[in-house]
Amino acid sequence: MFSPLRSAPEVSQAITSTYLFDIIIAVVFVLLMVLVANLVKWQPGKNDRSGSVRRIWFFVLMAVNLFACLSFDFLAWFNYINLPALVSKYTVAMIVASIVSTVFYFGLGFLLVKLARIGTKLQSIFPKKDR
Amino acid sequence: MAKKIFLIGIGGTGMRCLESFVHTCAMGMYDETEVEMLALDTDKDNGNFVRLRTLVDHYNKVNGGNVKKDTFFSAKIKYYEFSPGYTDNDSFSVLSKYANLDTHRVNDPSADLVDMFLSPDVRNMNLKDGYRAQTQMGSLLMYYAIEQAAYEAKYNLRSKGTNNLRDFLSALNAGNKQPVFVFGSVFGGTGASSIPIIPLAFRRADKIFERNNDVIADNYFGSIVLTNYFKFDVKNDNLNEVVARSENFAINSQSALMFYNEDPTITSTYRRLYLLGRQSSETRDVLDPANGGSKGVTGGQNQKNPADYIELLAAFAAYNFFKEAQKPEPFKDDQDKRFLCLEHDYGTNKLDFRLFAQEDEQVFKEKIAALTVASLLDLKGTDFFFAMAKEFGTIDLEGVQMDALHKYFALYNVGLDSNDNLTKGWLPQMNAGRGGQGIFFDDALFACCTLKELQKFKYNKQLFAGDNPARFDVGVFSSIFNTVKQKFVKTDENKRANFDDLLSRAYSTIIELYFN
Repeated sequence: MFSPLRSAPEVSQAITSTYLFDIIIAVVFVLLMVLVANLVKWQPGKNDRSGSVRRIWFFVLMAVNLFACLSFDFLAWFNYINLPALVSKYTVAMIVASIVSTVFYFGLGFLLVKLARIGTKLQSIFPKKDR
Repeated sequence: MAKKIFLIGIGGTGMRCLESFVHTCAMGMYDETEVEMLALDTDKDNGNFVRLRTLVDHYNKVNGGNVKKDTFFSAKIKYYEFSPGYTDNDSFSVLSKYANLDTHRVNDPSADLVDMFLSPDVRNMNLKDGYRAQTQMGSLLMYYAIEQAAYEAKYNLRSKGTNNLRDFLSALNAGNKQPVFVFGSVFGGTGASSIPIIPLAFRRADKIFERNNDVIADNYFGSIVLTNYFKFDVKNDNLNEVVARSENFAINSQSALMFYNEDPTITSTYRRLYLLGRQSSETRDVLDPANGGSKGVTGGQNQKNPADYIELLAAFAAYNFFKEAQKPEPFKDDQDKRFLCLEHDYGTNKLDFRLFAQEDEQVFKEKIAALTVASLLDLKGTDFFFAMAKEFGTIDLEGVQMDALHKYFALYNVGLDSNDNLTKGWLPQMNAGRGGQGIFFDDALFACCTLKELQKFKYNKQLFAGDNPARFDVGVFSSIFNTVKQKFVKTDENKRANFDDLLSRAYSTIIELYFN
């Protein structure tokens, strides 16, 4: 990370690190999503739309997660690849890792929401449909 | 097994005492208890009668017909009514066939005896609006009315009035040593007339039903002796018309107290009498709109005297009585003393929980606070119960119980009319009756005049007055609703099947927030 990459093995190692760090970024964003969900107040009255607000934040953070992964990968590794032949290989890996991270964010986030206690703010992001 | 208690409310004051009692049931003061409640009045259209009937109807819909514990509306109330059903043509003269007595005056002294107690105006006054403080007549007529009602029930005859007497007496006779508490005033008409004779009339009714039991000896009877606590001015251009006059209430009370102290019928019937009253200088003008009244209305459907804390005190007299009756040896420590008295210096500040509930003051404090906060959470714009029920997914949001709950809270605390103006219920009326010196809670609660003010009121920390009041904190980025809901979600989370679960979780949530 943040050091020149001069050989194929180094780039391969960087790709592995990219996947690892993008998953960590996804976990951080999931935690952020949980925090934001709990900060959004329940709304009094007959039509509480706070669940929709939390859902919007869920997807906003998902998009930011994708952007964060791409940005981090670009700054940490992409900029340091000296061999033009390996740039495209890393680029593909960077994009795939970012997408994997985003899917991981969605999967982990969705699972946490579904496992959350009924009636909690987290659970309200994807509530059970009315019977 | 559920406990059973019996209440009889007589006349307008009796109805208002029963109202206060129903509110104590709604708070949860009577867990696992069946309440057999008889409302009795000559004037079945009296506004207080109608108000009580409406209140009990809402209560029963919310309660759902079950006894419960550790929740709101925990007692089951079975409600009965009795009214002689006097018509416009009914008077003492008509009912007693006075004309016949008069005709035979030479041979029969009955007419002379009647004349000793009843002037012609009193004999001929219309009974439809009650006995109008003519207790010497009222006692006779009420005893007669109950006796007649017993015959009507026995022979399935059509009744002029409302007659659930048989069912009430059947419930009373179903057990042994059951506590029966009677509410009524001693300075007015119906209550003052009926309290001395009710047990005797019930005994007579049982004889007519051919039951072998003695309703007086087999049960414990208690009552309040409620002296004059309100006044009113009646516009009456006809000085000869018989009307109840509040300037006579004090002398009526004095006479009644002498009677209750000495009369052997009373002393052999009632185990305990609770003497209640207030300083005459503080007597409340119930017709003053500032006190929630309507000028110039006495009797009939428009007579709806506002609630007074004395009536809640009466309800707690009943609470004390019922608690005593549950002991292994009830009333043993009374040692033939027939009067128990509570006194409060009116000049001191706020009426507090201890005055009403004595050693159970903390229990009362928690429960009345919980019900009051629940009523605030139910206000339009907050709609806490609706919102929680929606998440349960199993409760009919527009159903009978939810609707009854909203209506009950409006009668208990505040509601909204069609223009979204606040209507003041029982609790604010009692506070108003204190003349601004307050009852139970911080005066700021009762100073709110609009829905917006109430919605902004910080009842999480301002509900109680005094040093170190019970309270709960709301985070900087949070709100009262948010805090309560977050607590609710974590409280008894597996109980989400029905309306009872909703109520009991709300009850536990509010009490935990304030007191744990």
